[in-house]
Amino acid sequence: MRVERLGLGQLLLLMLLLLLFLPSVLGLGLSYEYLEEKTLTLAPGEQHFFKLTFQNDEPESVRVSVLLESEIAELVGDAEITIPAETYDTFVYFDIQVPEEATPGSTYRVNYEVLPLEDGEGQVPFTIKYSRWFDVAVAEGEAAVIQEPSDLDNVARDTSLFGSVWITIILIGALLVVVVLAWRRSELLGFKLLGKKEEKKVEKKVEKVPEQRVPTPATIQKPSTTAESSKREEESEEKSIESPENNDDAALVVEKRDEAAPVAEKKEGEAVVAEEKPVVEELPHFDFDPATLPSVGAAPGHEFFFEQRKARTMQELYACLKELPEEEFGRYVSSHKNDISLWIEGSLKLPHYAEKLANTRTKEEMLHALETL
Amino acid sequence: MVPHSGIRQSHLLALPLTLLFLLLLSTPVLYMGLADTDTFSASVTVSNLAPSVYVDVGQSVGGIQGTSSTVYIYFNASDPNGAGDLNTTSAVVTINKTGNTDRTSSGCTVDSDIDVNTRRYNCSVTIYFYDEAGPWTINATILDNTSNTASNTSATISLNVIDSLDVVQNSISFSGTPGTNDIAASPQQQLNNTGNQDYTTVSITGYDFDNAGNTIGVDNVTTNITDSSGLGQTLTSGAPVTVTGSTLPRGDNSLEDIYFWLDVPSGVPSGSYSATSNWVFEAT
Repeated sequence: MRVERLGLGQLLLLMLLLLLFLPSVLGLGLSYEYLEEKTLTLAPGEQHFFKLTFQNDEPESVRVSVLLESEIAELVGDAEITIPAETYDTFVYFDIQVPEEATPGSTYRVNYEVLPLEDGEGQVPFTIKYSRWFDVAVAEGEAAVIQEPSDLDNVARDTSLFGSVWITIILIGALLVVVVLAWRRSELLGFKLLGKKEEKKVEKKVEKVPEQRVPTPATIQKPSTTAESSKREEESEEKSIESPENNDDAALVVEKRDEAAPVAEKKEGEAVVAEEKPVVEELPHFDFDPATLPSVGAAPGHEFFFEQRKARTMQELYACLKELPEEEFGRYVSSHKNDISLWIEGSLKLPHYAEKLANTRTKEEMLHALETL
Repeated sequence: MVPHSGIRQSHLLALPLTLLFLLLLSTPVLYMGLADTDTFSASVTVSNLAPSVYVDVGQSVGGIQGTSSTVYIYFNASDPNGAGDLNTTSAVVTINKTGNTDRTSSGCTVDSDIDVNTRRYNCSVTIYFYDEAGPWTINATILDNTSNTASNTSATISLNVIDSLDVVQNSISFSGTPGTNDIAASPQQQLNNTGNQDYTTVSITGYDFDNAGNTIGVDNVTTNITDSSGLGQTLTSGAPVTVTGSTLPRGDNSLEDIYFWLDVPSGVPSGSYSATSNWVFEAT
């Protein structure tokens, strides 16, 4: 029989090929309230919560970005969310607030875009994009009293596996630190009880200590351990200097600190204080001509709207960013979202540039990224 | 008003007097044509009156992509003869919208008794993913035990928009040698409208192929819906290109085949080339 002649490897290959040729559907859907003539009519000052529900009938979860562009609407929920497999009730809200001074008869455009984030596999992977809009027409009349939707607190938040893994890693790391400190403390107690010196042990530990103290932002922002443990670490470092080998390690760490942040120059005893402060990396600046940025412009209505200005091109974006208060910047870019990157990808159709900016988190970083594109 | 439940057998003398009193009381009301308003006590003995129906649904409901789902519609029915006179098995709800198939409840159950004359019914109606978004008129009907009919068509229910496009193949591939034209993609791509929107335009945004720095421009790819090699629209890297003639009206099994053809330029090094970014479908 044919099957009997096939080896295990061949069988596995055959199964893999069969899997590859099985149809694999990408099915992301949206559901939202029907609006006559795609227009929502509200009075000046009136508020409306527009619910956007995601449907995923596939056996795998899908991660999407939601980009909302409107001067009167804000996204309630995360800009990047995971739609679990075979679920139809993940949702976000658009909080629409018509200005009190809005003129009856005027309209506001609400643009939004939903795009899966994962890179597909295969030679030519596909994805689906939904670019949709509706108008908000301002009508005469008094604003109705709007109650917040009862499920407003249940909007989709970023619960990606990536995030969960990092949280798990951080928790495990914290647990390990606690265990190590507890062990060291008990060990010291043991030394005291036995009347022995701990030089040899300390030497071993010191090799690891400098690595833990490289002041990356993550470690600096972590809560401090007890004062006693800090003291113990200080003692350990003092002892480590006695060993030439350990001195080398310490020197290497200092170099890393220089590169990473000036704060790292502080003594270990001050580390607890330093941990309370955010570390802002100073990035190099040089004369930069914004005209070197792409001049492709967003379609009317698809500009990026800042509070005071709007940007149509990346050149205008750069100019806006230069004068943008850090506080306002934080409303567009945070550790959870990057509206500017999404806008560049969605409205300017410049995915490569969007990718370059996707991981920037501060205005300084974004300006630097733009200057070095 | 004297509920008939207050009549007891022990009050044998009171019974004929009460009936006489009720008869006298109800006669002028019936004469005035107000029998179905507040004369239920009279109907016990005089006549059988038609039930009335109240529907309290006005909110929007959402369907589910690619399948059917159940909507529950509640209505109240009242009968001056008492809720017991309502024929539960006759309760039915139909929702309709011009241009669509009517959707009729598969069954109604008693949700609760509101009062002695009024009963709340819960009817389940199956809707389909391709049922048109927007307001549908609810027609709630019930008979009483003597086949008097009551119905109400004053309420509407709004079906949500379902914007849903299934891309049947997550990826496709081309295989050929440099200098070969019109290489068909394998497998062919297919789109399925699993929502209730009429898509009149389908666009595709393609990206170049890359192999360790060697590039095959996506402008070597054409697309069409007619399976005719080499003809169709040339893709442009990073910009949407409309696939001419592609439409996906709402409906069951609304499919569109999309074909891709590649001309491999002469002189490009052999190797495995992959798109530098996902190709993006968009339907509007």
